[in-house]
Amino acid sequence: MYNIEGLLILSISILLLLPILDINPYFVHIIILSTMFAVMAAGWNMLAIAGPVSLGHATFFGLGAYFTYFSLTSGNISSYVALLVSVGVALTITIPIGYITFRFRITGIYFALVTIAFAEVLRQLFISLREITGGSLGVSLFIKEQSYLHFIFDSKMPYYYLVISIFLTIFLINKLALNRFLKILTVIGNDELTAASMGINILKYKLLAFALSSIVNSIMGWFYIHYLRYITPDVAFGLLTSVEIIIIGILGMLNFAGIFFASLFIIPLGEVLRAALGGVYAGLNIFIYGLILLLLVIIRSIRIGKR
Amino acid sequence: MIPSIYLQVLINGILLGGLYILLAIGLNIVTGVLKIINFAHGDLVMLGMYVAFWLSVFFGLNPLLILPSSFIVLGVIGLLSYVGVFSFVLRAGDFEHLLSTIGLGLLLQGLAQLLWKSDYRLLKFELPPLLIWNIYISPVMLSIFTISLFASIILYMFLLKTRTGIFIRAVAQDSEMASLVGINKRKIHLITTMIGFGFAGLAGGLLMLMFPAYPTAGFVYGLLAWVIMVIGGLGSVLGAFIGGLIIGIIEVSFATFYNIELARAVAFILFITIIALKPSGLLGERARV
Repeated sequence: MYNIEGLLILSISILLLLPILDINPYFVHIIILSTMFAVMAAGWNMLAIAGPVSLGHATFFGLGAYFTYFSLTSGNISSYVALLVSVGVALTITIPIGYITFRFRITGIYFALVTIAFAEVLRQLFISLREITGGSLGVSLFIKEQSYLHFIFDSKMPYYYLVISIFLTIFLINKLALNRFLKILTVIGNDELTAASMGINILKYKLLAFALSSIVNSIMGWFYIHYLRYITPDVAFGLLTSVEIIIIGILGMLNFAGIFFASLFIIPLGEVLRAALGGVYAGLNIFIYGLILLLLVIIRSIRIGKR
Repeated sequence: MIPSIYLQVLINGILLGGLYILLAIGLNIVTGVLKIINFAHGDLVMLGMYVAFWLSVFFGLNPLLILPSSFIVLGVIGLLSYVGVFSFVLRAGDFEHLLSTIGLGLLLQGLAQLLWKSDYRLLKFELPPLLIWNIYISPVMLSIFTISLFASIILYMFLLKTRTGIFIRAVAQDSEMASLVGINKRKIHLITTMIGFGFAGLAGGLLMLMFPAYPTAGFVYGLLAWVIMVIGGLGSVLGAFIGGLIIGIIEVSFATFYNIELARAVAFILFITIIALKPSGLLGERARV
């Protein structure tokens, strides 16, 4: 357990030092995307260890991206305010949904269905409200001049450092401040009845986990729109984004360090398949994602069957 | 007197609802018997659409005559997925079921995109509309409605009357007990998977008469099938009828007066509300939570 975390610290420090050498911008781009997905999968994982499997976690990412865009284009608002807005939106969505689902004990498949249906509601809404959201073509952020106020830079490097430090911060917060909290979540995930009989307020902890995980994802949405400056409803609320998050979470064996390495494997794989073979073999990345997911689950099931 | 536009919407809604019933029934039987959460259903429907499309393009046949082949091809895919996937994950938990079927769906979706690109494929299948009392009835929709009701009733009778159907219902009710009285559980699971997948293919073949096929088409249909099934209640055939009609009417009325995306959004909001208020569905016997 400690070894893999040591490995994580080591690789992050290598990544932070790497730009001293002159590295390829495409490589930088892939590392940025991988770290971004690692953060999102870590957020998803926070809820998953308590039991509920969310199939629509891209929702919060998408809302974060869209609401950052709305606030940045609505006037001379700085990115820091936009960050607060997107986190606020994520919270106003998760608290009622989480309260309803956890209060009425909607777990397992039903929770997954609610989250996937909710993501789909938002996708269809954002496609249909063409005047505000640009329909299925999405929106692009046009801010030309570089500024710290709007987090717009010409070079990729500020984003590189930003996303890695966000990941590091979340990792350290998890390790140092949330240790007890995460253990309680694990207990709830293992056996809810036992947890309840020990006096743990399950509703409260699940809600907290859901809120935290949605905040983490909306921060990544905020980051994404600053970095790529373009978002469409299919990326923001589509199943594929959520599935990528889930594959990374499961391949990472539901722990923080594992997720980072899983993301460093899955995202470059997807990018290479899309970029190198995308023209001739479009769809190969989806096919391989499906294959990986199937193999992972079959191996997992065989292991469960042997136990 | 009801203005004819509302009556028109109602009739179109009922006709579309008939198709949605068939969409949900394939999912319903797999979920009811295998107790597996089949998220690949939509992609199976998509594959059924492609089978109908290619066969009618290659052989120039009437798409209605090709419907059985959609059923058979998807039945074979059911056989393959049972042997390759379900037989392994069946004993694991909900989590594994969910992810394995998502994986299967992605696999099929990627395959469709690899083989046939992401172009929209549409069949030209048109018949002159019927006009009865100032209401237009599309003969295509009417034939889809008739076929899907007919197929659903055949399945219902099969489950009710035949020996295999009784075995299937026994396994659905209590699989342990069914094994104890000498029913081969694995065989019944396999047959059910093939029938359920076949019905997904049939629904796809019918959808192909009205809607375009493309690799990601399945997602919405799969989700709609889930919505209908949960609204009606898991494992309830009558529930699927009511759920299909409700969703059909909602979709047609919102699509007529607003737009289709909003119609789907409303259907999914209704679904979330019903899950929150009555997880067992409108006609479900007991909550399975």
